[in-house]
Amino acid sequence: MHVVVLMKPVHNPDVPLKDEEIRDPAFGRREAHPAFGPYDENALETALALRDAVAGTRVTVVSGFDDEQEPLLRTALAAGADEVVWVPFDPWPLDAGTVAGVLAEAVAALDPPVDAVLAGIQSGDWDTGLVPRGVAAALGWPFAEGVVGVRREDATGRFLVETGGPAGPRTLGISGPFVGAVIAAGTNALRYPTMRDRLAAKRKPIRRAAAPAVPPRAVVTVAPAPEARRETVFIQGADDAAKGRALARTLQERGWV
Amino acid sequence: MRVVMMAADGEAATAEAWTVARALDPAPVVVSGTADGWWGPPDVRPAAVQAAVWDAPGLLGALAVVGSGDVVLWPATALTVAARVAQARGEPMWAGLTGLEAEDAPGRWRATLPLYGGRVVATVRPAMAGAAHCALRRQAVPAAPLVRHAAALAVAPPLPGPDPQSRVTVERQGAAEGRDLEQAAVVVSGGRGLGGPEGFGLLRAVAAALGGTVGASRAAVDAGWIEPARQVGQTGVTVAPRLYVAVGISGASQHVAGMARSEHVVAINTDPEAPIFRYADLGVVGAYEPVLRAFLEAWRPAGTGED
Repeated sequence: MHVVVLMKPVHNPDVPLKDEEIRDPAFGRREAHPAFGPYDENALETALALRDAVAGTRVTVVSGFDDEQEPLLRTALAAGADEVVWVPFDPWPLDAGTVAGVLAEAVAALDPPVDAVLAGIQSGDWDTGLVPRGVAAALGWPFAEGVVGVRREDATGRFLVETGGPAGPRTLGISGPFVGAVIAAGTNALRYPTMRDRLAAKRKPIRRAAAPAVPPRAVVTVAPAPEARRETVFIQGADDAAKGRALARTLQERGWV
Repeated sequence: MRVVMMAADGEAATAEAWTVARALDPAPVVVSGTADGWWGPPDVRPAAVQAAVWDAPGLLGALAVVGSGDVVLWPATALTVAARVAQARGEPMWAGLTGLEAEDAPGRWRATLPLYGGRVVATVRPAMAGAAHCALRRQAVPAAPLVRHAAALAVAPPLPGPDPQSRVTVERQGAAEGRDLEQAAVVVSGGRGLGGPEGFGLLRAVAAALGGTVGASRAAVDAGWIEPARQVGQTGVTVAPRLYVAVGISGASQHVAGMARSEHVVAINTDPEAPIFRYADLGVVGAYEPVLRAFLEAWRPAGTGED
């Protein structure tokens, strides 16, 4: 079985963005604090857990962006991916559907053929959730949203895909390839690599795919968002219980409920 | 500007899309998900109405009849089928938009959307002429009032696609959770500061007392303390309740992006420097348990007298 995980370098969410970084013309294209989006990490862990359960499974990370980030790509290998395929292109002036088409082509070109594609439900930068849907559309595969776990049924070879979300927890039986958008579930935090894993990662391949020729679809300009701050009134009290009672009185007086 | 409004149903996401559709084009073409009528504002006179089976082949058939115009506007809840339709037609798609406005040149538009958890605002202008598929972020704009316009509509013949390689069955379906979150008037959310899943029991009691429901930050969901359907944030559910109570939540931008449109915000946190207080109308610096237990004892809804 061959599972692909789509992972995208984004600005490290633990490092606050500065206004001057946002105003830099290279913003979004050259990243000084790269990290994989947290949901992409959940997707990688989901794939690795499936590999743990099904012998002979291969996990390939496909990553599409402009600025080579080898140290970051090596972390995916250290976590356990077998190979990384870097698709060099600038997604910034493209719509999600076009990005999805580029990634789907890269997936379709892999050998052995891919059985499942997992991605984080959102990337951590644009956060529209469209690319995994677009990849499913481009490949002609079903799309599963809110994936929290994937198993393979021994008897039939079907995937049993656990999902969460407002529709309620579900188990989907999927015979054939599919694309899943993974969410955080408490059980799929990315495993921590050992020193041995990190050393082994240096010997694993990072393959550069051919750069796709894709005309720009949009002109994108960015600016720091205005901060929507409020004038906070702090509830006072002799102790926490007094503050709780004062809060109740204040809400009643203001009629907010 | 020629707009095709994908009027799936009478729900809030469709109503929000209508708000933008009619601002761009007072007489859009409507694609309806039912053959016996269509959902739209009471005073709209569409240029045409076409019914379609609400799946990719059916909607592709409808657009083959009416065309894509300049903008195809989708409800935010229809992203999966919208992505298939846009991909099949080779037309670009943009989603998560917080604004969509016409520009001076005919058929041209610009859209805005938040990036990086709301820290950045992006403005997108198409680089080439041609149709584009667009969907708004939930609760980014007010919902237009909708009525059902009864009409006998012809259903567009679906465009057949390739036989799917995969078959999907629902093997198990649990109870739907979290659907109430988007529409709740009061949301009481818990974060890592709760220290464990037990804290959500107290939050549920507070939510019940206030006539609301429970939400959570990503940190609480990541820790497995509460189901993912309860997550409020840029990922997860966007809420705009009358009252939002953030308990033990630090105030990361991704979370704030999901609750910033709340009318009133109360934050409870042991850290007086927690960023959440910048976005709160009322702040309580203290441990959530004694604060909320005393709150519950003291709480009486407005209009109820003393015992």
